Amino acid sequence: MNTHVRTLASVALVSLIGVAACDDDPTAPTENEQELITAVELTLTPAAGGAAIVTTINDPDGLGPQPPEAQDTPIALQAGAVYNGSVRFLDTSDPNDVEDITVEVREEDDEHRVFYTVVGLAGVEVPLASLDTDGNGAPLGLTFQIVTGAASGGEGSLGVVLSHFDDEPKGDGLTPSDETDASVSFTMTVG
Amino acid sequence: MRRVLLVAALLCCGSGALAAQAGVSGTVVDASTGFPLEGVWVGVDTLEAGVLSGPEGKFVYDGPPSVDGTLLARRIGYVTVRVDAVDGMRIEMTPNVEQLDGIDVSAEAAAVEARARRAQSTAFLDSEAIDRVQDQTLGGTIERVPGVAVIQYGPSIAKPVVRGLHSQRVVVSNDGVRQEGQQWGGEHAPEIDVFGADRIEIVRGPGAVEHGSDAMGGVVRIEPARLTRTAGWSGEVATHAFANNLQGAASMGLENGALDLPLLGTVSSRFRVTARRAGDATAPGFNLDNTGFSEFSVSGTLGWIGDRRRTEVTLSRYDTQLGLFSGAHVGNFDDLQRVIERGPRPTDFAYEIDNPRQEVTHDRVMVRHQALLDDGREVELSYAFQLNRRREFDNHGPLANRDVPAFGLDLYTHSVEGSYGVDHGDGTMRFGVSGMRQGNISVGKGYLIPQYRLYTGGAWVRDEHSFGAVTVNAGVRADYRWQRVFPPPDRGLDLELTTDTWADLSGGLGATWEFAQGWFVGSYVGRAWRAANVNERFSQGVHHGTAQYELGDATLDKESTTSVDATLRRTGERFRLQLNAFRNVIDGYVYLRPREPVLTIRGAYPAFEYRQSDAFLSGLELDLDVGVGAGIALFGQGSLIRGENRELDEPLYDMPADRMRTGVRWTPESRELRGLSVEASALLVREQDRVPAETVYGLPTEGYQLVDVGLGWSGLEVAGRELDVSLDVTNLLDRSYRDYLSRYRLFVNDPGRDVVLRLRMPLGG
Repeated sequence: MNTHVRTLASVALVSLIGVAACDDDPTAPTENEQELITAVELTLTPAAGGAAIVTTINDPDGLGPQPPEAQDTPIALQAGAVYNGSVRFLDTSDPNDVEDITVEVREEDDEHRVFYTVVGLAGVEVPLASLDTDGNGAPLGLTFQIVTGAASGGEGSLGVVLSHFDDEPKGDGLTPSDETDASVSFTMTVG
Repeated sequence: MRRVLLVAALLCCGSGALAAQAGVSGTVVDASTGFPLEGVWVGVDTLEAGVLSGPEGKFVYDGPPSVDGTLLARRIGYVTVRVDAVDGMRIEMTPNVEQLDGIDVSAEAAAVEARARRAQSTAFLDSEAIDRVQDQTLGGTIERVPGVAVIQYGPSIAKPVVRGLHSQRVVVSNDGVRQEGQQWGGEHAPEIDVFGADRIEIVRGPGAVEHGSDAMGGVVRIEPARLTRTAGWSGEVATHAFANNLQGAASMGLENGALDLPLLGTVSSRFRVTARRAGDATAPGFNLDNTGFSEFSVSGTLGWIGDRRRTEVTLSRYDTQLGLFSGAHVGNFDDLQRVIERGPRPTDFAYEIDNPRQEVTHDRVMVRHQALLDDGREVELSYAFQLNRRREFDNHGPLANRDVPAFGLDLYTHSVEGSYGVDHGDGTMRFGVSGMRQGNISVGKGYLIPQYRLYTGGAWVRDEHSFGAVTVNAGVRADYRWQRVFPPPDRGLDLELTTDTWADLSGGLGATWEFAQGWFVGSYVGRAWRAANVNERFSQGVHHGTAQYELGDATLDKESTTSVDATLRRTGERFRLQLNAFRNVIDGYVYLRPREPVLTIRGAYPAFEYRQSDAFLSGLELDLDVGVGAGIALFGQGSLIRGENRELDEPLYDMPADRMRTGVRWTPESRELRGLSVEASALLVREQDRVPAETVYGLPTEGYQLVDVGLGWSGLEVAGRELDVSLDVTNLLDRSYRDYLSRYRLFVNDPGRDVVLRLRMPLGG
């Protein structure tokens, strides 16, 4: 019977280990560690002087199923002008601790590129030469310019895509990668 | 004189010119005591149906005749003997001190016998068969079994699909305990060390009541080797090498039947440690970047074995790191289009496992107690704790957080089972109860499924009854399930605290008739049901690696299936056949249906939502092995399956393509070449054109043909040791192909030629 006592003792011991290993309370709050991009902010300053336009597209659920919200400020540009632009990517999921992910993009500038696409506005362009560059001289695009032609006008949009080059080399930075970190579209009027 | 060597199953081999007469009777006795022995299996060989000796040790063997006029007598606890078949024969059996107690005797004898007579369609791999086909994963190991297919993400992740169904619809039972891993997607494979498997049984179709109600596709049952009672250390070392991904794997198993431990006394013990490392797999002319993986597992079992009772305690850990093909890891729909159009970029071979990757550990503690009571009654109680930790690392997002998982899940499961079996003379009846408590915890910001608490309880009874040539199997099970889902504290997710309960019956009824010697015909009607799972109800997120957005539907109800299965089976030495036909009627089949894309701050994603629809599944499976003389056998294994959405009148997504393997095997009859087996086979897979419309994942795949060759030598004597060696070449011609169930098929070809070398060497003993 001695062996049975031992058996039971070891069974009890092992069961205790099992129960003690349990931290399975699903009502406990989860930790939030990984950063997400939840906001893209554009600042457009007329090169000739004047008030800057600051506008943001927020997507509080990040990759969640809710679509991004509409931009909070309309972009109304003058024809025949040049605007100095800059972009910021933010994690606003904790309002008390907004993270500026642009800092990391700048630190790893040889693995990132921001692409700008003007849709539906003839004569409006973002010249490649206006983009800032990374350490290798390839375009980065955290700052850029929008040039509106004298005859341009109407309503269109500005697509902003943050491409991430981790697996594939960025090279001359002219082709988007297959790893898009952010992709939003701002509506824009000229005239 | 003639020798028949059966590599697969035979322990020894006799000679003689006469065929055994039908209707040989005799008595089996214990050689040391002279007492009659009940429950001794007598037959031609282990692949055939045999008979069991009765209470006075008497048996009447009227099965298929033996080629060499001998009969085999087997009973666990005794040395297997082969004797000339003479009417009125007396078989003396010598106790084998290395063997086990009464519990194993009844279990093994019943298992051998029951297998031939089971009405449900079943495939069985014994340890020799497993050694021969053992692959990098569990899925790869059972892939050749008719009716089984795998969903694969390169060689590292292979999820078994049985009769077109997978994930929660296929129960994987490891050493009697239901594996509770995280089966929320095709990229989540069972966490099991294949080296530890001694026997694998695949039950096709629903109705195996002892494993739960939700095995709608079937059950994969994995059993480790039994504990020894022989004192002293012995064991084995097995190594595998795979040329395609330059993979090395090694496993060492040790056992000691009388290990003296402080406090615990003298125990039977068994230990195993396995390590595996694989680099990138290679498709013909193309390196599949970041498809390497590694595995490390350890397990240990201690057992207190008496003549009539035994207690076993098992602790195990399975730890794996899995790389996902980087070329398939895209950001959004535009990225996906770009990759499909221009193909992934070329890379060089590497062992490094980079993001995207998964880290999974599965820990298990299991305690089981079995007791043999009087009159063939038996009781079994078990408790198991399982902790499954999964971390998935994304390749996107801010770089500073590469080592922080995109999401993590911890699944805690406690389960208890109790069963009571009674031998009622014409078969066995078994009652059981089971209970489970499960908690799922999310770690990290990414969301895949919500946290939940789950309780389940069930009770079942199953009976097997023989009426001469007809054996009837019946089982019924009742289950109750309570689940509470907690909303994540995160932003924007449309989720509320919900509590649901479900209850229903499952079970089956079938019969087998041995209409001629070695010929069985059987039919089984099975029913199973399954509550919609948390991922089907609450998914809201991207499955990386496919850029597929999945949305759950909280209102999904349970699904249920009724399946009719017919089997024609021939057991024998030179001609074996199993032919199955089935039809599954599923009410409320839960599946993913394409919907309009989901727009996020990262762009648009192709989106799918879980829906329910009535469906049909039907199919055929063939397993044929015919000896044509001179040690040559021809074999064929085929599967055909059709899935149909009854409401939309369109094919179901994810059905395996039709396939047929035909081959020839030579097992030389000469004494010098004993143990050698040479095999060549061709696998023909038809194109999968039965795909639902409107989805990029429904793109048909073309048919393909592969040639495999292999050579195995079991018991090859080298320097006084008996080695098991095999060398296999799969996809000999290095054909480029894409299987419909390969999740990388939109991007790259499946892996090309592989050369696999397996070596097994006994230690000590």
